[in-house]
Amino acid sequence: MLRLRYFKIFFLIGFGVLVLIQFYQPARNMDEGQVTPLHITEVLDIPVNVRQILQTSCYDCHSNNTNYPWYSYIQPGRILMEYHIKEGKENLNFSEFGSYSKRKQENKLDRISKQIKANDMPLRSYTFIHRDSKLSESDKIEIVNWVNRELKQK
Amino acid sequence: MNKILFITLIISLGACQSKETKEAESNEQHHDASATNSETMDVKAETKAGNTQEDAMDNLITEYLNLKNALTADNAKDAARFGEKVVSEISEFDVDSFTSEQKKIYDEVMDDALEQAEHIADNANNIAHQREHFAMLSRDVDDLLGVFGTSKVLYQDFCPMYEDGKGAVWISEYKEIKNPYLGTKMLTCGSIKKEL
Repeated sequence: MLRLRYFKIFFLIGFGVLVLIQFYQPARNMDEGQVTPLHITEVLDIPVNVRQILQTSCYDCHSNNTNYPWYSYIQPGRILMEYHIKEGKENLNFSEFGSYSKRKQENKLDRISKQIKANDMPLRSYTFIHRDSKLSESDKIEIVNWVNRELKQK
Repeated sequence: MNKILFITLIISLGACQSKETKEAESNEQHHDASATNSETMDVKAETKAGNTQEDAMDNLITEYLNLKNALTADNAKDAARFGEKVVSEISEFDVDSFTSEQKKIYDEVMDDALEQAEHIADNANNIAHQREHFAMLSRDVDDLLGVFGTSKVLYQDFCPMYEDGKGAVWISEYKEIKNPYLGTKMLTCGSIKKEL
C-alpha cells in the first residue's frame, strides 16, 4: 500500500514539473521573411532545385529562420530543438554566409559536400522526425555537383 | 506523507546548494583565468616594441607544430589540447599594427584558421575528423607564413595520398618526412615541396 503511495507521489511531482516547463518558451529562431544581403541565396548563384533541398533539409538548424512544427511548442522537445539550432548555426549559418571570408566560404562548401557524402548530415535524430528532410540519393548528387561547380569557380 | 515531502525538500535543497558551490567554483576559476590573462598581456606589451608580428607568428607556429606532432603520433587527445592553444595564439596578433597586405590575409584566413583549430580542439575522440580540419588549417598557416614570416627554419611538405589523391600540405620543422595525415601507419609517406 505504501509503495503505491510513493508511486503516486512521484507521478504527481513528475507531472507537475512537466506542466511547469511548458511555460518556458524562449524566443524563436525566425526572421519573419527578412532575407539579408548576407544570405547564401544572395551571395551565390544556387539552382532552384538545390535551393529547395537546402530549404527543406538544412535551414531549420542552419539559418535564422526555423520552420517550427506544431510539437515544437511542447516541452521538453523545444529545449532540445533550440540546442540543436544554436549548435547548427554556430557551425554554419546560411543566413550569414556572406559574412564569412572567401576562404571560410570555400571550406564550408567543401565540408557540406563531405558531410552529405558521409551521411553525417542531416542528423539522423532530425530526419527520424522530419521524414521529408531526408536526402534522397539524387538530392545528394545535386548538392555535391553544385558544390563542385562553386568550388571550381573560386 | 510528511516524511516524503521532507525528503524531496532535502533533495531539492541539496541540488540547489551543489549548484551554488559549482558556480562559486567556476567564478573562482574565471578569476584565475583573468589574472593569468593580464599577466600574459603584460608580457605581450613588452614585446610589442620588438618585432611583434613575427613573434606572434612564431608562437602560433610552435603550437601548430605541437599539434602536427600529436597527429603524427596518432594522439588525438594531445592534438585537441594543442588545437586549443592554436586558437589562443591566433587571437594574440596585434591587428592594429598590420600593413594593408597583412590585414588582407588576416581577414581572409584568420577566421577560417580559428574555426579549424576549434574543431580540432573539440574532437579529442575523432582523429580522422581532426585531420580533415588540420588539412585546412595547414593551408591557412602556410598563407600566413608567406605574409608574416618566421624566424624558424621550416619545410612545406606534401602528402599526395590524403583525401583520395587530392593531397594536402603541412608545415614541418624536420627535414625528414613525418606525415601527420597518415600517422604511424605510413609515417614516411610524402615529400618536401619547399624550404621556408
